[in-house]
Amino acid sequence: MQQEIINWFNSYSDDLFRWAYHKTSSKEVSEDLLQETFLSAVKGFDGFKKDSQPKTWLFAILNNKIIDHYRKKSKALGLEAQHAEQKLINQTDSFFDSNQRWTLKTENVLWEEETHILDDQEFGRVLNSCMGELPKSWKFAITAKYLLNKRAEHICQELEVTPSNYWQIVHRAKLMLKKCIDFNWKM
Amino acid sequence: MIKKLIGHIFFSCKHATELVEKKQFVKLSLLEKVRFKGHMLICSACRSYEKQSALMEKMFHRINNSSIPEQEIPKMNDTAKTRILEILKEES
Repeated sequence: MQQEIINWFNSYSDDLFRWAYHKTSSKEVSEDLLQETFLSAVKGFDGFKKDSQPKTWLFAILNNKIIDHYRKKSKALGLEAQHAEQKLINQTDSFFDSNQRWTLKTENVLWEEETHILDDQEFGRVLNSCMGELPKSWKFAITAKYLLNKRAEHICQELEVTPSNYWQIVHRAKLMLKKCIDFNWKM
Repeated sequence: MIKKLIGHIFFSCKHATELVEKKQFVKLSLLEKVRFKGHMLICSACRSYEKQSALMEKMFHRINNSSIPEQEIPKMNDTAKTRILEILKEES
């Protein structure tokens, strides 16, 4: 077994590393994930069916490790914490009046049509800088399902976050982005 | 007065925009759906929010799925490789 796993490592570690890096954007994290992947492969070697592709099997293990990584991250970022980011919560609350109607200017919205905007580089830049102003945990919340390629309804399970907390964060994050883009985006 | 009443029946803007996000994660109840649709019919600002929300989702998707150019992906360095190989030899 030892030689076989070492052969796998020599053949596939670069591809696995690239995938891990693509999903985590961190060299150190990717190396750790790779190490954990191969350790799991050693432990699970007997369960590996000889007629399946080792590469496919290793990628499946790696994908689980990536989800674990983001699960830990979501805990560390305190996605469960109700009172985090209170200042910003107050701010998004102020987007609505006492009857919970919009206080933001809602006429002349310039960026709801998709056709041109999706490919507009300037719009991409504005969105990026607006996202940069969000707290880390909020930014993570709105992008997690794309990082993990999971459907929205599964992402709460994967990250072990209660759904109501999750969509409230998404809602507030998008309100902040809306205001920021309304203000900074000029056609 | 009438506006307030309508607000009660068809949700407030705050609640309606929250539902725009909620319905991506869980199925709304029939009553929620009716009240939500009612709000969207009469409120252009929330209709606009819903479109903007969908547009943002498309942009998030793009940002996170555009592949990183090959030359920007670092190589795993040899010390890391050797370290992992050492660990594998010990373990197996």
